[in-house]
Amino acid sequence: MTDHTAPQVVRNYLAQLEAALGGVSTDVRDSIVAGVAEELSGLDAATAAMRIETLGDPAFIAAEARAESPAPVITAAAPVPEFGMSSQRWYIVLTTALLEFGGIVIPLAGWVVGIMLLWASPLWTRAEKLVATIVPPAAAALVVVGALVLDLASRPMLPPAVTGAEAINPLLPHTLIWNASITAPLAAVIASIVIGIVLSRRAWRRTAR
Amino acid sequence: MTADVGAQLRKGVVEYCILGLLARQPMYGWSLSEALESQGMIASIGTLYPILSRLRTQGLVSTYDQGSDSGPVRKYYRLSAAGEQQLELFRQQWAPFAATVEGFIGEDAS
Repeated sequence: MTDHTAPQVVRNYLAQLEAALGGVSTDVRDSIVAGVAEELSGLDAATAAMRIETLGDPAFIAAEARAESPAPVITAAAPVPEFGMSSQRWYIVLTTALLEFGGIVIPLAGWVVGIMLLWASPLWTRAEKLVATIVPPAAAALVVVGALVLDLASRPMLPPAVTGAEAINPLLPHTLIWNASITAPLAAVIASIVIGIVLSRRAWRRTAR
Repeated sequence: MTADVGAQLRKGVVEYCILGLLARQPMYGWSLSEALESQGMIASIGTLYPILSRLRTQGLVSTYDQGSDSGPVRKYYRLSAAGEQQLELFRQQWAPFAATVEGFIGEDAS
């Protein structure tokens, strides 16, 4: 039913709606999802986001549908998602703050706790959780690899006696690698802050209304 | 008795409001939802679709798909012959019913 060419915001909303409607009769659930999908079809992301604001929280729509359905058919699939502690606003603030600044306050450990809270909440998609977990370490690793490659490339091909270059003291760290030890954590922190801001905005939007 | 009076009243008449809207013209889900929500008759599409499903099961409305040049293919709802009869029956009863209620609860004009 999901249109894979639709903007991400539409696909996320339809997926959340479908999950929230678990327990509602198949006929009603399919009608609601299809009705929303046809209305959001063909819209750009910004226009779709405005329509979604009008529609409101999937959990609220599902609660209304359940209240109006006199004899709901309980299906084994699609359990009702938990909208408990891990979806509350203080939880969003704590999680994204730890992602953004936890690694600075308590190096590494603060960020790891943020990642654990992130994975424990249904507010974020699996893809978002993977990005938040993988990208900061990958950004740091990229900086280190880049420094190593540049360092190797900058070494003279021939010994100093042949080239006349000044001898390099092997006990002193190379400048590029030395710089990387500072810029790699910095890259990870910057990536974490950007990801934290994006995840925070998305979670607020999903819990709106 | 102390429950939301407005909700109780809406619950009793919203199906007929939908039949009334569809008696004017076939409508798709979103447009029905907007019309009813703007008048406070439903809270969201979550209220609308179970009712539409019920009306369809009862044979009071039917559906058909229709595309447009600028928009997507939409599922339209239209009133069936049985739906028209049901609506007419409600119209006949509504006015005397409302007058009766008014007779009980209306403030004494004297």
